[in-house]
Amino acid sequence: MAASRNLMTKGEKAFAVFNYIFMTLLCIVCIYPLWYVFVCSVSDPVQLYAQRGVMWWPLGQWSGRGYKLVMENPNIPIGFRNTLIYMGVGTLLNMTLTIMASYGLSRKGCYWNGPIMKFIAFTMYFQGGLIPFYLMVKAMGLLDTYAGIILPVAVNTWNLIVMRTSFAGIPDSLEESARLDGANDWTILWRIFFPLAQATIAVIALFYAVNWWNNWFNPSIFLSTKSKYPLQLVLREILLKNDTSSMTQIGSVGQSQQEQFRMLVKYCTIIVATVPILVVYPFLQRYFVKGVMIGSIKG
Amino acid sequence: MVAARKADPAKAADWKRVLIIVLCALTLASTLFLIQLNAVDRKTDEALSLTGLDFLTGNTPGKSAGVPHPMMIAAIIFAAWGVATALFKPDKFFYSIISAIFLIVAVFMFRFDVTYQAKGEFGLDKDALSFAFGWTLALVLAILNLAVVIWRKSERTLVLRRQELDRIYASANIPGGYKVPSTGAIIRRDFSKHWPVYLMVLPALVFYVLWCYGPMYGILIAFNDYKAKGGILGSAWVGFQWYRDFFRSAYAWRTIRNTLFISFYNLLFGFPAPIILALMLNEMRSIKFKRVVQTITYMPYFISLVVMCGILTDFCSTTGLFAAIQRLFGNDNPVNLLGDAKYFRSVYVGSEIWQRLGWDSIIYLSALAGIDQEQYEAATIDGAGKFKQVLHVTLPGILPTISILLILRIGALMGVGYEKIILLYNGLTYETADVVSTYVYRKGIVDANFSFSTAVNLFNSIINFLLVVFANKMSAILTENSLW
Amino acid sequence: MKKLARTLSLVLALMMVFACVAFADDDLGTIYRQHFGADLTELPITTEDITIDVWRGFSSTIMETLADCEVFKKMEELTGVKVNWVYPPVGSETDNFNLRVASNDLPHMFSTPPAYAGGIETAVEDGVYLDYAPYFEQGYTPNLKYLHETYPEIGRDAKQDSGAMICWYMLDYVPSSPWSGLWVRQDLLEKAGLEAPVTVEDWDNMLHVFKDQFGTLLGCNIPQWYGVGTNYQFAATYDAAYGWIAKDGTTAEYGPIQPGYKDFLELLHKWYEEGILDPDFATITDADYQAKMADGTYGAFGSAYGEIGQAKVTGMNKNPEYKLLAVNMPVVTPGQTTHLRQTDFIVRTDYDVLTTRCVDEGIEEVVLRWKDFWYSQTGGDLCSYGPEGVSYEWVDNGNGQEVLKWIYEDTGIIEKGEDKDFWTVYPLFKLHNWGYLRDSTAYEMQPEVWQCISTWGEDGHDWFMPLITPTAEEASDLARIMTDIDTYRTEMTYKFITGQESLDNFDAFVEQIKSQDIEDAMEIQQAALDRYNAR
Repeated sequence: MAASRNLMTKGEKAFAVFNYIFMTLLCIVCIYPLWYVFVCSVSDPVQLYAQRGVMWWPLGQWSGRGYKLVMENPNIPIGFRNTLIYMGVGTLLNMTLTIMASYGLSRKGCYWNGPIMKFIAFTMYFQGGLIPFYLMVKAMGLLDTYAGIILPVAVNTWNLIVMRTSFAGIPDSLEESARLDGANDWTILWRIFFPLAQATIAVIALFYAVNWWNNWFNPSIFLSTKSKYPLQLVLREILLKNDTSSMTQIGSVGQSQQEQFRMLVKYCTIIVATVPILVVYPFLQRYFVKGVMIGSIKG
Repeated sequence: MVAARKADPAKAADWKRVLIIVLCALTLASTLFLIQLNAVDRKTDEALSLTGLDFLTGNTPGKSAGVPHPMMIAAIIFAAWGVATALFKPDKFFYSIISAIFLIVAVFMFRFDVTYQAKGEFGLDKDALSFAFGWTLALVLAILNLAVVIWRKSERTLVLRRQELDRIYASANIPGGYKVPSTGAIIRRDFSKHWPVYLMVLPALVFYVLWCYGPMYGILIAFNDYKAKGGILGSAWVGFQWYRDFFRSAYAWRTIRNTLFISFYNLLFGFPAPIILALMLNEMRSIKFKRVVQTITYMPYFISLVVMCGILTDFCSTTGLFAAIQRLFGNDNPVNLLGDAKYFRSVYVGSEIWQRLGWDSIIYLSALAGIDQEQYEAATIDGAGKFKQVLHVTLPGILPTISILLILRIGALMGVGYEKIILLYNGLTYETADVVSTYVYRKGIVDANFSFSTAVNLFNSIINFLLVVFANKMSAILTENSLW
Repeated sequence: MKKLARTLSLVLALMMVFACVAFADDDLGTIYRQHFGADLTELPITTEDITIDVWRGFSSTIMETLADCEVFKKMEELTGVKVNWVYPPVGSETDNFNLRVASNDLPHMFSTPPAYAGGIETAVEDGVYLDYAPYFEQGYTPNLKYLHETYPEIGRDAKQDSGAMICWYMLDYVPSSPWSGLWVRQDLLEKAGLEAPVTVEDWDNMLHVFKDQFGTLLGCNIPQWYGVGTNYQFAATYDAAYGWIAKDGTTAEYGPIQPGYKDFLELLHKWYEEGILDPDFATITDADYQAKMADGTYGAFGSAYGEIGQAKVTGMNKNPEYKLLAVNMPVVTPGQTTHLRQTDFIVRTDYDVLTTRCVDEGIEEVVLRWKDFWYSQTGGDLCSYGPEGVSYEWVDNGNGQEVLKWIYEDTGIIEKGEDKDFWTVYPLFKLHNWGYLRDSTAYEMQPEVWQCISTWGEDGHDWFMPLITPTAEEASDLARIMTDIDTYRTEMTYKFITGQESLDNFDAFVEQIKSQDIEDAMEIQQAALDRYNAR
């Protein structure tokens, strides 16, 4: 790195300056939506109702009223616990299956790998739809169980394909030399592929974890016991409960104080639903470090 | 020498070629001339007798008079394709099996299609329909055709394998006397060598069989009129009715065009953007700053669509941010960007990039981390500047990831969802904003028809699948990266 | 006979409107004790241990389960029938419903279910919903039978064309509509020294004055539930509409191809050009529309009364003088009668259905009698007001009339607190949209709400398309034809108003719609309307 610093030309310096300015602007643009939601969530509800356009600062007095309303719900800790279970067990299962299958399918010279890839890719385009899927879960006796939420989405094809690409990019020479030393497939996967592809593995784990975090549709279909609801489903209920507009259509609603907090609750819910998962990414970034030397493993 | 003693398999395959040609021709002839549709015209009470040929020429009563029946055209195309393949490309097994399967489908569907259309379309009394024996015969012939194609293929495989070995042995100057391995033997040998690999794939495979292929029969509701009582397999078959409904709509082509345009622009601008961001981040020296930027740019992905679109509508209005910018540039009468069909795609694609840029760049950042650092050192020693390093080390390093993601992206061109568009579009922007899924969504409000939406989704899937097959082929040729 | 029934029902409906207006004069919102239904249920209905499954989309911030609602506690006590509540996850009601039907996992009753694919009668054919007409004849539902026989409008509307009785509708004995119409800012009117606008000319003048003096605009949304599509604002002035209408009550017509639609478009186009109409009317979100109502951007707008409460609170927070006034449908010439406004009937669109599971388990008589109890006077009062002595009591108002007094705050069923206003706590002691005999006035409303109901109620609604029921096949044909036509109509309506398309092309617009098989759709609607009128 030190060597390249010395080689920095004028053009490169100009680029670096441009790069920093551009990135700063990009950050402002990208943080705005979350900031907007945050300032709305602590605004005065009466003024928030008439809010339109760009907003940089909370309206009226800062108030934690919305958060209080959201957090009062006893289902939130239960939902949080359930989400952690789904996310933990689910991601572990996802990663195990995905890594094993990606390793297997990235090996060259296997007669069936081509057909299996076609077989798998086909499912990205053709699905049976909700009704037979539900009947399948029901037939397996998995309705209203934790397993019924986790098993039917054990592998994500998109993630599998990305993982396989990353494995396929690891030089064959490493595998060959390991085989000469008598290593079997498990050892090769664990000792060579794992450290070399750790960045991709971290990203795929993030993708799976985020999916689990945001997962509400399947639980809403397959669960009937509230104590098994993941956080997102609990929050969704809070959000919709506070949305009286569906009742207004029936046309008999006057004014309720609850309605005042409708928007506030909406924004607070988004914050509660988003912030915990946002902090996961910075922790994963340490796996992104460059400098994993292929040579070091070779040697 | 052992294998060669038998009757020449190449010749044996040849009479099957003739058989395929004959079967295709007979299927078609039987469909056109032997199908005898006896029916009664509902208006005139006149007894009618229609042959397959009448359906081809459009010599039918009712609304569709003069319009050739699509299944008849399909039958001709696939029969001709089968014949042409057998004549000119006998070893293109893929072509022959596709044509054989679709010939069966065309003949099979013709009956259900006509039965369903009889009343509304041709004004015929549905109960008095008969197809004579022609339809059954055509179907049997078409199935026979498929059987012969498969039979021939299994023999040709051995012949080709033998030719290949002959060539190898000849080039190595080794005399013959080898045994051509049978397919079974190849599979056994492969399995005994690679079983640990297959064992690792097995759990995922079980998942796919159970949870993806198990419910796959649900696709069938695209071809029937799904009713809860009959279920997926027991509802009345309607053939291609839903496709006819869709393509007869005045807006079918507009929605397909809009879908493709929106996707295409999204691909054109939305695909390179995260790559560029990843490359720029890669050039940052300050690790801390880099991590902050990464974390911030990925945030918009988590904001719900409703809120995002709410912010966007605000910004685009005549009192919003973009109007203020327009005023800054001297336009006193700023346009509402969402109130003009011209700008819809830009707003859509722009906001899509806004929301996904950071998130999508993560995968490239991880790929960048996997590049062998020795290559940079080697390049530096060769005197390559930063820019050259990017061009010759970084980009080739992430090329496999780029090409695979591009293939997947191309395979999603028809997949523009309705969720975001219904939040942004209105009558003024339908011209460019109304896509297939929003059209289906609007129709679903008037009448919830599972079959119609499944049918249209299946159409999208097929287009996407064809696109991905094509993109995959191109990528395999150009970059040697492919999905399979 | 049919004609007589029709006349009677009209008289009845008129009487109700007058009754409503009469209340409006002195004491808005007073609930008088009425005897509308009968009391023919023998209680308890059963002494056996019978529990029925009731499916209902449920969301509440003040109770955990519907079993906490005082109404159901009392109902179980009276009837002896126990209820097991089955809740679909909030927001996934439709999916849950469809999957239950597909996998034959039925409750005994679906309360306010989503639309059944193919229509309600298909659900009976499919063996899912229970057609209770035979039991109705056998006398299992005496209270409902009393209502059907006593009130022709219920007898006509609360069943299908075929005579099948599937839905248990919510029956309002005082129609609580209209609930959507036009509002103007009364404080601005007073400041400008104007009278409430009556004619289109008044409107034009008022909007210009508003714009010049206060910089306010006209808020007008077309497709949403507070817009033209629902409340016909300005379209009814010219006897046109955004959707279907029943011309003279007998002819099914498509609103946008009426000659009056051109006048309507011309008016809005003019206002758009003059900058009086909100230039963002086409793209605005619901939230922004409400924000503009409240923050003073709009001097006049169409809205449902449900939205007025919050607009008023926020509006007064910004401007203490903020005051709203509901106004009638504008007319071209004074004295002209309009024929369209937002309308609801005695028979509302909310309904419950019983399923065939009741018959399969052989408990249909108990379930039917139990459901019928909701339509007795006692049952209806229980659902409308809650248990007597717990949530309300009747008191004499000094004129020998019994009026309702809410006592829920004093009987300990709710905890007291600043957030516990009527609209927050009512689910604890009364029902809202279920199938029962309802007193629709049993809510606490803002004075503006009573005022707007009576003002809008003065407008005619005789061309309003009633609750016609196309058959499954008709519905599917209609969907096929109307998806395209509605798309075209929406697109062109916006383009005409903004001037992207010249109004000279209006005739071509009509021709285009006619070429898209609108006649077939009209035939279907006409047939359904005829069947309805022939009931």
